[in-house]
Amino acid sequence: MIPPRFFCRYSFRKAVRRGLLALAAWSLLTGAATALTDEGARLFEQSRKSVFQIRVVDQATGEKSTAGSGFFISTDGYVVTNYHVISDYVMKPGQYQIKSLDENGSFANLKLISFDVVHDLAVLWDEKGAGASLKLGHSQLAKGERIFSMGNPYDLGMSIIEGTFNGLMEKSMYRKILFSGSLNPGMSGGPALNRQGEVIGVNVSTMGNDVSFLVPVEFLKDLYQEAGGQAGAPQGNLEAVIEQQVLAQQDQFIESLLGSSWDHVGMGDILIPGEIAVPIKCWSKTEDKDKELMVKVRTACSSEDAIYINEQVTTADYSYWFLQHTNRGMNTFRFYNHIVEDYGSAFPFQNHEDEFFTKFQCRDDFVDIAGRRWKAALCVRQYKRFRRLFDLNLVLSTVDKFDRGLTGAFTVKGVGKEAGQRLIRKFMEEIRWQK
Amino acid sequence: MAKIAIEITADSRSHKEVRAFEAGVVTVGRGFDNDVILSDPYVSSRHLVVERAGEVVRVRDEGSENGTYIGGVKHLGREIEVPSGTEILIGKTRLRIYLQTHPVAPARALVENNAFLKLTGNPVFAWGLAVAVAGLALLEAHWGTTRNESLVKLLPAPIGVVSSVLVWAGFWAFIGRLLRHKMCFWEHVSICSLWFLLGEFVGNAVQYISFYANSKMAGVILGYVLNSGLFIAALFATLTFAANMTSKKKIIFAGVFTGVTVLSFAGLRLSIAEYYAWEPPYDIVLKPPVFGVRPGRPVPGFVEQTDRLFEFKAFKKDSGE
Repeated sequence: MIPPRFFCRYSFRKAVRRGLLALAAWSLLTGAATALTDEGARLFEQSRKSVFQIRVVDQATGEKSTAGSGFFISTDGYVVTNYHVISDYVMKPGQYQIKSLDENGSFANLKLISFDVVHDLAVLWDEKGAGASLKLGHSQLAKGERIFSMGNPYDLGMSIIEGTFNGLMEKSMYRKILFSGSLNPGMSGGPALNRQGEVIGVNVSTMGNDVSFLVPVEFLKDLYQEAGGQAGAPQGNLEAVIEQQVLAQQDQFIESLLGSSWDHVGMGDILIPGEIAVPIKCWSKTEDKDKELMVKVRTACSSEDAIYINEQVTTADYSYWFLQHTNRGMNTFRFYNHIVEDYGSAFPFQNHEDEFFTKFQCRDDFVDIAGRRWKAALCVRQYKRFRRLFDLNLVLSTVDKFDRGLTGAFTVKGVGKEAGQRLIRKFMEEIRWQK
Repeated sequence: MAKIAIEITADSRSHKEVRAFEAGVVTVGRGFDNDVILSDPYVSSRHLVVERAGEVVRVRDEGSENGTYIGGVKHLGREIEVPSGTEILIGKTRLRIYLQTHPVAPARALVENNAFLKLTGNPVFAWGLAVAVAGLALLEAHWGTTRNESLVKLLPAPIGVVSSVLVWAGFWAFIGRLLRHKMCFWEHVSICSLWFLLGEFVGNAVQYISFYANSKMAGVILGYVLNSGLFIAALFATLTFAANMTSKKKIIFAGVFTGVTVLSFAGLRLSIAEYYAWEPPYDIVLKPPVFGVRPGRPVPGFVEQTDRLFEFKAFKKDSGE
């Protein structure tokens, strides 16, 4: 499945291309547009003084590096946007400034108060206060209710779009609202409103084709309450805050995984971990082509959600796959050549050191699991900015049969050492033999 | 077996040249109709005839302008018998003539190749090896597919390998023609094919060893050492046919050349390892259990061993945080 796209950045070229596409589609849509209500006009008029563009400005040039949307939630000047809109500032506070640009074209400096990297929220503060602010509602709406989203797509101007509330996604790892409406780059951080004009969520991402996501307002309330007492920027190192938030979320999730009984999928005489938690989805496919001398059955599972840290780093996602090879007429050497290909491709990373990651360190060994003999390799790399976080990649392949093999991989991103090791152990122990 | 070998040295020549002849009579001079043509202006167009006479060499001055000096004595238009290994001076060029029966071992080696090296010159043997190399390449290509492809689709692999054998042999034959006036093409084909065959064998053996030893590092080191050794041996044998060098010089040349090649290759790999992932960082060798299955660990034991994977060098000093 396609991961959701975070859309605080966009290029002008893309914007124009998309604009043309939108124009082409206009004639098709006009018919449908008449069915929409004019509630949008009323809500826009009611809310437009509270919603504005947020820019992260590079101090070297004074020009924007990212642009998103934001809104006032209190008259004393508290502002909400997405964490990913201001992530440049969080990573390099010395280099950037956060500014708001209201409908009259006047700029104001914003101060970062707090953020929630897991739910992609940030609270900022405008010391001049606000003339108007939006009221926070709740996200317990009925499926199909009309909701409205505001923001400034592609820096084209403040817009409002109408769409449908489609429920809190129980299956999403970081609990988002499914919004059937067309969010576009630049709208990130803008408010999603109910018909009364109360905030029910914050625009966050899209998968295209009217499949968009909102952060439920409840997470915003938690963050705002936390920030309420503080009258200044978050204390200490911002990177330490990110690290702490990711670790806490991950430890909690892994703890729940370790404590639960796992679902399994049968592959030959082996049971492998299946949909082991609600947010993890599995897909299976058998490749059995006419002239092929080998049958492959593949099961792949992943959590289809991640935590965005910055443009280069997304983390806290889980994925694993198994591939069963059955020989159909090759000699065993030739057969194993093909198992090796899949074993070697079980590494979804680039193994080089950069600004954010160390290189991987690996350990190869022979392991006994489910009465079979496996070759296994665990590789680990460290986050340079968040040194308690690691990416793990486990690769496994049976090596005890001449004519069949089971190869698998388990990739875990952004976990602490202890939780990571316990999860790897549980994962391996959950591979079982079936009669 | 060569009957007469003539070692040629002159101040104007950068290196010693040795020519070996199957015939019992060899003519020497400046003219093009000689067996040994010397570009020494003090040598006459037909200066000398060298002939084997049993256990001695018969040297006949053909009435040269400047004469033939043997042991400091000038001979003009005369025939004289000398033992194998005697130095003869004509013009400014020194000749030393050896017979195959020359009692000194190193000199003998110049005249007579051992049985194996002689065998490499046999075209049938050379083609046999080249065909074996082609067959192996074909098998490898076949083993890389998961369906039985037609021969035509697999042919590029063996054709490519045999072409590289022929290019190698052609290159060294050309060098040999320059340095020794001898091509030895089939010898080079044989040596290169043998090198490829042994290389394939070594490569597979190394994979099995590193797999069963569960050590990628052992595989890498063993691979470098064995392949370097093999390359030195191949280069040594090649130089035997393509240049006039003593064994010591050949070993030094082959060793230095191999060392520089291997080191620069390893250095290049290391220097761009930061930017290019050549392969996954774990060992990607899996082998069918033809030699049995190696004992394995239980899962907890495996996981316990991964502790050190979480320690990263650059940050070790402040891991106390």
